[in-house]
Formats: sequence, C-alpha cells, structure tokens
Amino acid sequence: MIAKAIGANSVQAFWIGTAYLLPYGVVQPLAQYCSDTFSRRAVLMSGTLLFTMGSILCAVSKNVPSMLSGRAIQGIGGGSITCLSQVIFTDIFPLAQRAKWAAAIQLTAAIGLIIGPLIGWYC
Amino acid sequence: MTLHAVFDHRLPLPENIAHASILTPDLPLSRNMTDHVELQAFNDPTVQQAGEDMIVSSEDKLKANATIGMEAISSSNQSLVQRDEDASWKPSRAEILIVVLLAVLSFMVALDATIIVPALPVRTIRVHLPMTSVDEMTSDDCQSHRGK
Repeated sequence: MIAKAIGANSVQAFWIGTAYLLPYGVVQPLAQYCSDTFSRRAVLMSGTLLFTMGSILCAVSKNVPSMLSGRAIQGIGGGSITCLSQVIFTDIFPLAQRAKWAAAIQLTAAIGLIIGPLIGWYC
Repeated sequence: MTLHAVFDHRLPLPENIAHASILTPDLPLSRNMTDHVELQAFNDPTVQQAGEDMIVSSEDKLKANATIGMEAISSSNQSLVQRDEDASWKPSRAEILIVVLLAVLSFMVALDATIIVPALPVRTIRVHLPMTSVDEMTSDDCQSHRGK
C-alpha cells in the first residue's frame, strides 16, 4: 500500500490520485498553444521529460509532499503528451486516413487504462 | 456584332447567310443552320440594332454562365482530385515510427492515470451492513452500525 508506506491519510491519498488529473487537464490547451509558438517536437520532448522526472520523483518519494509534487509533474507531462499526440497525428495524416490510424493510438491508450488497475492491484 | 461572332466557336454558318441575318435568342442551337429562314424583313437599321443588342446581351449571359459553370466544375474536380490523393496517400516509414512513438507515450500516460488507484487505499472500511439496500435500513440499524 502506497499510502501506508508514505504515511498518508485518506485525504492525502485522494489528492495523490487527483494531483495527476488536475494538471493533466489544465495543461492541454497551454501545450497546444506552446506547440504553435515554439515547435511540436520541443513541447513533446518537454512533456516526456517532465513525465519521466515526475515518475522518478514518485518512485523515490518517502513522504506525501514529494509524492504529490511528483504526481503533479507527471500530470503536466502527461497532459502535454496527450495533447501533442493528437496535434502531431492531425498534422501528419490527411482527413481520409485519420480514422484508420487514430484507432492505433486510441487502442493503446485504452489498453493502458484497462491494465493499469490490474498492474496496480497485482503489485 | 455579326452572328458569326456570337456563335463562331460552336456553329460555323454557311457563307451565304452571314450577311444580314438576325436570329432570335430562342432559336435552338443546332448544327442544321440551313433550315433557318433568312429574315429579310429586318433590314431596317433600328431593328437590326435592337436585334444586335439582344445578341450581345445573350452572349454576355452565355459567357457568364459558362464562366460560373467552369469555375464550379474546376472546384469540384479539385476536390475530387484531393480526395483521391488523400485516399491513396500512404505514410512513410518515418511517419509510422512517429505514430508508434505517440502510441507508446499515450499508453504510458493512460497506464499512469489508473495504475495508482488500487494501490492507494488507506484502510479497508469494515462495516457489516445487512444485505439490503440503504433505503430499507431502519434508524436502529444505522445507530447500531455507528456503534461498531
């Protein structure tokens, strides 16, 4: 149990989950705007870097604040990746081809959503 | 403006009727122009001028309609060509690699959103409720469960 390992109460455990989803949603319009201003590659790489840094911070965290910080950083990176995935996909594929290739990306995301709780429960 | 100038590109007229003819705009456009009656009664200059104005007006309408039609056909053809190009478009190897990368990243992000949910519970809530719905519980049941 993660909450027990880092000494979190129920409210803090709730926020560990929400600290990812909140910046995940908020950062997406900003990431799209930044990708227009700078470049798609720069924003996607920044998002991937933030996601990795947040994951590492969560993995080494020993208390609640560091875990919350790591999850928030992960959310910023995850939101950027999700947004930029769609933007880059739209840039590459013409309209007639999008339905077929969008399924590939959406399928992997759906698999991740499904097996996430299974892995979390098993570990 | 002679009749030849109006219909020159469509209906080459015989030489013998080119000198004084005024055809009404309602005449059908057929190649059998020898059937048209040469209208000698319209030799009056005012009538000729009126007839020529009608022909000029008819010519303008024909040109305008032809222009609009050609623009519409051209736009439609461009759209069809674009659709054909889109349908036959195939991604290069680099583009497929980009899609694979985006798919892997989307997988990791989606996994991370849900993997923590079952690993977080603080404690198991042990409440021994009866196997009935909440609506069927009495106030005594609630008080007894609060005491546990």
